[in-house]
Amino acid sequence: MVSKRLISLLFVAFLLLFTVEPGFTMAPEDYLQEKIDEVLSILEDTDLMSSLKSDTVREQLVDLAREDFDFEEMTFRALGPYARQATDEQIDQLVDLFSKLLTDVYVNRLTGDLAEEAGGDYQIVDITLGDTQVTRDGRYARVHTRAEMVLEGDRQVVRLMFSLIAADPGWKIYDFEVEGIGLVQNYRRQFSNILARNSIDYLIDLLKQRVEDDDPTAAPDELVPLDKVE
Amino acid sequence: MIQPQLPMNWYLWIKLSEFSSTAVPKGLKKTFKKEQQAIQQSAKSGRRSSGYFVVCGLCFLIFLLLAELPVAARDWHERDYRDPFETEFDEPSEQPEPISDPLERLNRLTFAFNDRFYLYLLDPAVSGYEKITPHPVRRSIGNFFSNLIEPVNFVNALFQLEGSAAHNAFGRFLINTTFGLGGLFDVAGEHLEQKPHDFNQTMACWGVGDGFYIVWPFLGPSSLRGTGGMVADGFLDPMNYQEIEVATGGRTLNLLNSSGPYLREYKQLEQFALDPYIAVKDFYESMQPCH
Repeated sequence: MVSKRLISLLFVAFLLLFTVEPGFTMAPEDYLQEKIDEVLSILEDTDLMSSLKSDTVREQLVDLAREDFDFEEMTFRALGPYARQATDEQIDQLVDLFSKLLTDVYVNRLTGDLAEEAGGDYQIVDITLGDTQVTRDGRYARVHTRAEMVLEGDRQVVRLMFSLIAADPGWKIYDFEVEGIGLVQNYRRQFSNILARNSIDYLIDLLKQRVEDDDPTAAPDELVPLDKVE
Repeated sequence: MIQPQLPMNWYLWIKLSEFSSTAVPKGLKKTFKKEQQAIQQSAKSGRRSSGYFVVCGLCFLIFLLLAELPVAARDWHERDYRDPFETEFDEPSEQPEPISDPLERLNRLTFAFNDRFYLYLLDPAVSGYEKITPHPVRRSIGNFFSNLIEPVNFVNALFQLEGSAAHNAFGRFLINTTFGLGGLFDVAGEHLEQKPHDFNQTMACWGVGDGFYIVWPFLGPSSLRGTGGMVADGFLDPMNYQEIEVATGGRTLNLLNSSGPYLREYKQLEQFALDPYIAVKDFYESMQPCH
């Protein structure tokens, strides 16, 4: 006969497991708008042109990126079928390097330092999400929306799609599309093309090279495996 | 951190055992041990105690619940990498199929040539142009050239049986050419949004396939169908009916005026892509026309 104590013990364990259930308290679209407002408030703090150079702003954005994106999920999906071939050590390296690369993409997109370089009157006044449609499937959600923003003095409406995964608390983004161009899909095609001809270690080396290389004017064939093309 | 790759109920069992050996009061620990011994004895004798079934039942229940929860342990070797919204609802993929690329070797060479042209010639020229040309002037020049392609939008919207888009293009051209001083000001823009339509799009909407991927010198990525569309639209481009000097001057001005945003995107992409050729190809495929 099972003692009452053992049943209590299992019952407590059972309850504890419920406490790790992801927080579904916030609707994904509200979460996204909140995050966008948070980013804009960082950029609004000072004049954008001077804030571009500010390490504090960049650091704040890097922290936000770490908080808002599920980089492990992104790496997994970007690797696609090749994820199954990676060893645990390779997975760790891939997640670490891809996170760094994507964080740089995110921060550079937001600060628009290339726009500054060109001397354009780059500014984002506001981003408001509208026409939002949400699909949910368990701990996953997909949000189709339109963002209205002001870029380089012109009002623009951009079609966006976010893929989110429930986290504790709230949500984390694991993919997004801008005007039908998906981040993870774009990397997945690059990874597949590289991995069809090379090993995962080669991909890790390429990622390392890309993350360490801060020179945006580097010629592509110095970094791209052109010589590997059949 | 590498997480253990264990079946969930084993993992849970180990955690419970750890829990029982550290945090559980002596009495409970004893009870837990007794249950384990009883299970082992009954396993030896071939009989199962009722406790065995209750413990298994609870473990199984917890296992089922855990299957629905995010788990810290990595499961990359078993998980489906496809997006849940494509697999579970059986929806057709929203992602475009890659265009076949039998000329990849040649295309990559052209891509490398274009890359140097964009970065070492076009980019400095565009930067210089943008420095000396105020934004309102650039915007008006952009409006002018954008107005010139409204006939292309109009005809192709008709070919695609999109009455509203054809009406838009016609209205925009009429209003901007007259009240907008030859198209320099987009006065129609507030009410009539520009909706680009070209012959590549028309052919795509009528079911013509891409053919294969082509990278043209200077012009960049295209496809066999895209190239055909470009040639067909050329018949409606007023620049093609000008004196060669005027046409060349006009095209150069349009190139300098409109390339800035694309070059900035391109440089960002180059900075972060592992294989810029594939990244640009994917962009081209994603912008495939027929919605």
